[in-house]
Amino acid sequence: MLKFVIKRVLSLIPVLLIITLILFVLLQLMPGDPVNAYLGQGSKTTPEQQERIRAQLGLDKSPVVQYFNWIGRTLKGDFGSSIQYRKPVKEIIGTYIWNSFLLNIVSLVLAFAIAIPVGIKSAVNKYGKFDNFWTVFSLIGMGMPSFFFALLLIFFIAVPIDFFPLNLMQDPLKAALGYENFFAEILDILRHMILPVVVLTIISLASLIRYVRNSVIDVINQDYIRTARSKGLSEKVVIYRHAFRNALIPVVTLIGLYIPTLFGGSILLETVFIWPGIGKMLYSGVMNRDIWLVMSSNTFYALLTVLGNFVSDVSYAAVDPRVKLE
Amino acid sequence: MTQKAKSIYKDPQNKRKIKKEAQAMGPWKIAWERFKKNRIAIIGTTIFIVIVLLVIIVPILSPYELSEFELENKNQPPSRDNWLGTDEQGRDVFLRLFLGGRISILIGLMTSIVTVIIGASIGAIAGFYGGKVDNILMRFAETIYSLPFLPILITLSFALMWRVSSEQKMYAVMFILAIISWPGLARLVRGQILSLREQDFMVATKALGLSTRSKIFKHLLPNTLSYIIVNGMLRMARAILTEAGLSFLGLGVIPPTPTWGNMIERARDSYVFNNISWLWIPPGIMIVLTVVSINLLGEGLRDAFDPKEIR
Repeated sequence: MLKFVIKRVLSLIPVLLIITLILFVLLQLMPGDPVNAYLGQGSKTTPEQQERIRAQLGLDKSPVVQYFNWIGRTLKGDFGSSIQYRKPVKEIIGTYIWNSFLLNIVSLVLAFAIAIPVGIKSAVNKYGKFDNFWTVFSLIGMGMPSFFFALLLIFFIAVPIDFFPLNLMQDPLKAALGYENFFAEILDILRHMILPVVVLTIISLASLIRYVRNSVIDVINQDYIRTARSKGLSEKVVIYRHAFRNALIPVVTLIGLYIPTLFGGSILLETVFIWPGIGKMLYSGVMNRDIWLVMSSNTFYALLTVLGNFVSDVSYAAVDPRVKLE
Repeated sequence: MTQKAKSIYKDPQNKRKIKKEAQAMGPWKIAWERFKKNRIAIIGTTIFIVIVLLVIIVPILSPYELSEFELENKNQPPSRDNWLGTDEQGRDVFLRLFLGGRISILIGLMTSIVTVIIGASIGAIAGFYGGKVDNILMRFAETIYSLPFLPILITLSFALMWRVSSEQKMYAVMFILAIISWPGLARLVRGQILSLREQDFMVATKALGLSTRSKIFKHLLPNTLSYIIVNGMLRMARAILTEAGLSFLGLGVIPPTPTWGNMIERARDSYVFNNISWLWIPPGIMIVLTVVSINLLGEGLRDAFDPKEIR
């Protein structure tokens, strides 16, 4: 097992290198000059000053040198400096990343917590009323663009009902003046979280419920379940003791795959809800030619995806004894 | 599959009949017979066909033109003349909705076709040759597969879109979507080819001295066709959603060419969002209807092709 894990970790390194290389080439293709973006339009600077800024941003060398410099710097924990915020990228990512984690992890936990019992119940009473309801729910959820769903919720819930804020993560006035206490701040963030979390949870629930349901149905049709039933075990024991465990094997591996999908998908939501997360940051970074910010946040997503695949593989091998490790 | 359809198979008499028919029919006929009995899939197919027909016919029959501006008649709510009202330039929203549908569905379809061509070819070549070729191609596929989908899509679109004129943006979106979504299909086809390669009919092709190209494209790939069709359908639905998201961010197809995605994008303007809701709600509903109907059709096809369904 340890050998398998080490081997997989080592095989991740070239994949990550290639991904960052692809990213770097993409950034070279971006329109506009980051130095101009840094200076803003119509700034009166001499070419010498521009060159100094270029050197400051680390853009004066050839692209190849820039790439290797970037790797070297990143490994040391220096992600370069942001053009639009004029701060080290590390600082910006450091604050925004947690906002994204907050949104995504809460939704992920909720989605799995709901999908597993609902999926099992649907599978047990296949084509029953309960199953049909959730099937329709899943179908519509899978066809619904997350940003459109978010807009609908804002339009029909947040606009008429004062309690729900339209967007942002905190009340700007209260955040500027300072909260009465720590507890008030938490409550304010929670209030702002409700709608984005509802959207993210429902969108991921849609496919997750189908997955759990089909996985349980596959297991229930197997011979050992028939054996368990013919032994006279109660249906509860058959499902929750015998079927449940094997049905969850493929579901567990999904967690690893869902995290990067969720984070990627929440870019659109963070844009709609103006949630100060890493997705919103990536989008504004792309729009403002903020080269190092885009590079770092994309690398974060790549790392998340690669790690997600890795976690999924390893957990599969860990949970299912039938999986042979090479 | 519906309860009713299932019970048809459970009835022993029917079962015997179906089995007997199955012996006499080719695999496509069997799939079609099963598909016909799947009521939900038929509903999905019908909705999809209706949407496609509307998207083709409405712009032809509409009394309005896409480039027809009537500024004195702008931002009108739905009425008898303009069924879905007019936009801020006085254009008929009903017409734009279906013209936008043309582009959105076309992008979905073409993306799916290009993805299938790239994915199936690479998967087939990797599976057929095996060894080093397989190793290199699959490593490549794995790398593309590990790219974070939406972030890369956003970066890629921004990097490429400014080089493309606004009429060609549609093709650029298809191209970008296809080049990052083929690996999933390549893996699927490769797995199928690996097992098909060992079967007797391939020994026969060897004995007949057929060319490699004929072996791959005439004998191996057609056997994976049912998987490819189902996968292609579901991809089409996904591509429509992705294009909508991209256009919503302003990185896909841009106005004046309407798509459902860039029509919803208008909602980012808070005045439009609050006051002119007929601009952005209808395209969203159309996306949901289209994607759901394609998914139903695709899942129906999967059930129809699945040999495990008759037991």
